[in-house]
Amino acid sequence: MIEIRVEKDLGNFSLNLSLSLQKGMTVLFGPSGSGKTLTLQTIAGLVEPDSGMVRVNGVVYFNKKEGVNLPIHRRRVGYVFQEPSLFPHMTVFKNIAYGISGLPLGERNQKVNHMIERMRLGGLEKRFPHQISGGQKQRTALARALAASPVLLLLDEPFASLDNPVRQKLRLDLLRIGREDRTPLIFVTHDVEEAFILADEVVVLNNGRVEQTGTKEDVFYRPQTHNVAKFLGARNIFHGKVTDIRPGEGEMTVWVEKKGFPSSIPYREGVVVGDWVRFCIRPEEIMILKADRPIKRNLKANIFSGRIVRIVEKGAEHTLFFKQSQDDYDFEISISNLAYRGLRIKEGQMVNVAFKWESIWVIPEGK
Amino acid sequence: MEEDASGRNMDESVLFSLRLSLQVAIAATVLVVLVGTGMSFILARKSFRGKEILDILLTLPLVLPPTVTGYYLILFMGRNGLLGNALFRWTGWSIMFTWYAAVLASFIVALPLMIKTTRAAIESVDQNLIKVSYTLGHGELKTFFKVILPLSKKGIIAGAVLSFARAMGEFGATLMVAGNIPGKTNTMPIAIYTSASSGDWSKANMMVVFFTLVSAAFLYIANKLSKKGF
Repeated sequence: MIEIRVEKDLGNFSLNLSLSLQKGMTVLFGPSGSGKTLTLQTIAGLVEPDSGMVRVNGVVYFNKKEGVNLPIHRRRVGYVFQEPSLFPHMTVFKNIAYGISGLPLGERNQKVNHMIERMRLGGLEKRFPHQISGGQKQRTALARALAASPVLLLLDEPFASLDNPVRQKLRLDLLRIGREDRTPLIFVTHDVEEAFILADEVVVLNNGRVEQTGTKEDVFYRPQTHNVAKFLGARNIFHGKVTDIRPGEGEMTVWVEKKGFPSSIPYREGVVVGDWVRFCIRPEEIMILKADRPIKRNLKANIFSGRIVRIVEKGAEHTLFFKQSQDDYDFEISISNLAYRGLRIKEGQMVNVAFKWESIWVIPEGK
Repeated sequence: MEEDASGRNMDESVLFSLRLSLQVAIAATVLVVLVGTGMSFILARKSFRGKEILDILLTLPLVLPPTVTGYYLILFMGRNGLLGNALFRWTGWSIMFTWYAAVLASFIVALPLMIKTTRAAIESVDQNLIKVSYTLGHGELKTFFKVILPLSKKGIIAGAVLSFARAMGEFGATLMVAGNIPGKTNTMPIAIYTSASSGDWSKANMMVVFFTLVSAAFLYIANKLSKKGF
């Protein structure tokens, strides 16, 4: 159990947050400069907050009022940096053994060898950091942090500088370790995919403040603020004025001013006609209706007719830009290559698209 | 063969001066490395009131003429000096005109050289490495010995070499506090000066050649050591 309540003023940036984290893997997610690294640093003791409290498993690491500030080397908080930061003058073995040098030789060697096996570093014991690859370096850094049996492990975008296949492998390694060791992990990233793969819980930070905490599904499908929706890739966010409400049916109609279209969206308690609301739909949730198939009458959805003005190939998927208004484009639609090939769409083609009711999410904060 | 004031003949007195210079330089260098490394660490990693002033004080001997440095040393360590007085009253002994004074003079003038190189080396150690060491349970002192020191080795060795060279060549301050007592405090540079100013060219030549060879040999060894990475 990790409780943090910190304030830190750095001139043009201030951190002000309050968090309560459980075991498992917590992902600190947010854009660059949102305070993710700073938060980690206050937990590890690398940075001293201006005020507040940090408590891990009941042990007070920091408490401004009571003048408690446990020095870094007594906190037993492991830290893996973005750059592996291995000691260049020590072998892989010695690096991993660094945190447990107080143990008797036999026990120490046993632990190190165990780590080497777990992190797939066999055969590299006598190599120096400059002789191994980036992925191997980070695995060594992980092994080094874990060998010291920390009460908490902090990882600051540790895989950011690695190739994709290596990243995938390391993420799985991390998940495995998380399950085996049951050491709580806090993982910082700005990559949505990474957050989704790793997280038990997600904390979305922005500008030094917490925007939302919840499961990955919570933040992904039910963003509580405009920013969270944006950061998590809900690329179609609309601002509309409520023109009609039908609470009995759980529906309301909004007029999206900028785009000039109406939409039927789930009703939200307390909303009255004239209010402004924000709602969003993820690009991969927008349905493209086949031209030759009649629209099912009972399809509860918003249907729009328009043109595909631009198609962007993204490797494993295609992004289509749909336009029906005078704006550059209205919706961003994401479909798999398979679906794309099946639909045989070309730029400039007229299509019908649908917002399925379940895919629409009204953002609570949107005013 | 002629004898000098200490009763030694020319060869003996040349060898004496050489041995004395080496002795003084080695003693001074050992002190410089120990004190210099410690001071460099403090200057590189700590902040405190008066740090700027300390830095300037420690660097002064680098820019002041050696005779001025020597003068200050007399003020402090002379029989009637600030510290020298207390020392004399306590032990009846004065450092002036002993080879210890030569060591002190060399130490003071070489210290800034050591600090400059060592401090730069310490400051260039990757901050993250130091942070990582802390998170792995090692405090400041342990981190200094296990991480900072090994990674600053090149700078420290370079500083030591420079300091040794400076100590070997020290003349002005040494002359003022240790004097030019034949057979007691006449280090090589002083002996060469004495011989040259009294026209004893053969003696001066011999000393210059000796001195140059020994210094060159030392530099060669030092270079080899620093390349090997030790």
